[in-house]
Amino acid sequence: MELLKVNGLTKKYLTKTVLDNLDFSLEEGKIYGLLGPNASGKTTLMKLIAGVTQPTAGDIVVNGHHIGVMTKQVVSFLPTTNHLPKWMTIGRCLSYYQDFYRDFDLKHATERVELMGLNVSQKITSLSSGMLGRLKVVLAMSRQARLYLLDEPLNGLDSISREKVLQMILESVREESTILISTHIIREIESILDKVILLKNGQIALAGDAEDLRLTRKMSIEELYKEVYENA
Amino acid sequence: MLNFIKYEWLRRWKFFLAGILVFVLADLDLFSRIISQESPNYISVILIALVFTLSAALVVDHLGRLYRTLFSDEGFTELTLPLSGYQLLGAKLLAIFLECVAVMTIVGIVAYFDAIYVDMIALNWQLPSLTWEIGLEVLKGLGFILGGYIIFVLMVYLSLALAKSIFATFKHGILIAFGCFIVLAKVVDYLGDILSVSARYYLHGSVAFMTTTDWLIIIVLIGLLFISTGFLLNRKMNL
Repeated sequence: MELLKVNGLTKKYLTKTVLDNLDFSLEEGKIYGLLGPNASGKTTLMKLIAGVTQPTAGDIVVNGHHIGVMTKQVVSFLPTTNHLPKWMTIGRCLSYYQDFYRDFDLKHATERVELMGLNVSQKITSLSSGMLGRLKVVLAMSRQARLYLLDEPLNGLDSISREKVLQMILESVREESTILISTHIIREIESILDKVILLKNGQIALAGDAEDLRLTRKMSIEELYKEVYENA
Repeated sequence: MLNFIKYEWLRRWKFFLAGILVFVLADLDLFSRIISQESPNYISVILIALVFTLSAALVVDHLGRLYRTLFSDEGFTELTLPLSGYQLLGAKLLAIFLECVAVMTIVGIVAYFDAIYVDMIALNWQLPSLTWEIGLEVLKGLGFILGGYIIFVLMVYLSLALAKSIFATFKHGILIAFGCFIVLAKVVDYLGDILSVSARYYLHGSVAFMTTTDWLIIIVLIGLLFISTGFLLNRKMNL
């Protein structure tokens, strides 16, 4: 079943077109890889779906609703930047999410915080970029959301943390939820992707089932990525 | 919405408590010196300077609350919460309103205790009895000041919201926001004729001369600014 539908989506900044007339949809229960080099429009697309940026043209429908309060109730967004309030401790962040999101599982989140080697009494400002990355993923994935938007979740993480984060993402997939992960680091994430969308200059260069692409093109997604973007 | 106010308070209750303590200390210091007819020393100067600095910091903090949402990464947290732009703005304004009321109440209580103490020790001075008329007059005056302050805060907020929505594609967002504020100030001046309301208030030295229309203008201005800013936060943000 279709969870997200994007129709004729365009985003322009003055004279620069970041996204150009995109049309695609996301199905329930799948993990999508939104792939592309820097400045290909991945983050802009994520921000548009999250509702923090407005499209120049076109529309986005999530779970039958246009972007607004209703979609924010079912979309869990993890931005690339450190968006957590600096004055908070990890414990306060967990309470914050529990207070605002009905679908937030505090017990699960607390367990995951410990699993990630973090402590609820730690202040956000005292966390290293790796610890912060792990906390952001814990917070985003501890919601029972319908759609998870993970913008570069592996950035700044060491190999052990990456493994843990990927494991957590896999554990969070439910039949009725969808995950859209944007990244330009393909190798480690390739194995968990069901489908891929490759963006190039604000347009979809290639999209499809990851396994089908591997079989038909006789190459891994990473190799396919290199082929698509070699002249980019 | 109430959760939002809760976190606004949790964020700055220490700052608020420090402000109250400094104010009470400054009052005690000054008052005891006046009673004992001593000159203020450097401690008095520091305490008074601290009171002014903290008051200014509170105003800057009030204005900066939407700035943080729109111009820092924290916006990704606040603007993805399942709240409408109106709820977000309403919660921020309600928190500011409650803080202002709290400040006025604390200042009023301290002044009242000062007056009672003077009444006890000064032979040729008597505390005037507090009548309903005086109380109402004071409340009207405070309401007028608070209304003006909320209009000012909303004008700044609307300017910031314009810079991050309609003018978001342009560089130098802060300069644009400042330009928007200047234009807004002119528009508010023209539309509400707020200056004549102020003039009437200050000329007569009493809010009793303010008409129902004057109060209505203040309420309409707050409403217009709130709806415009809320709409932009709801539908037009470009972080």
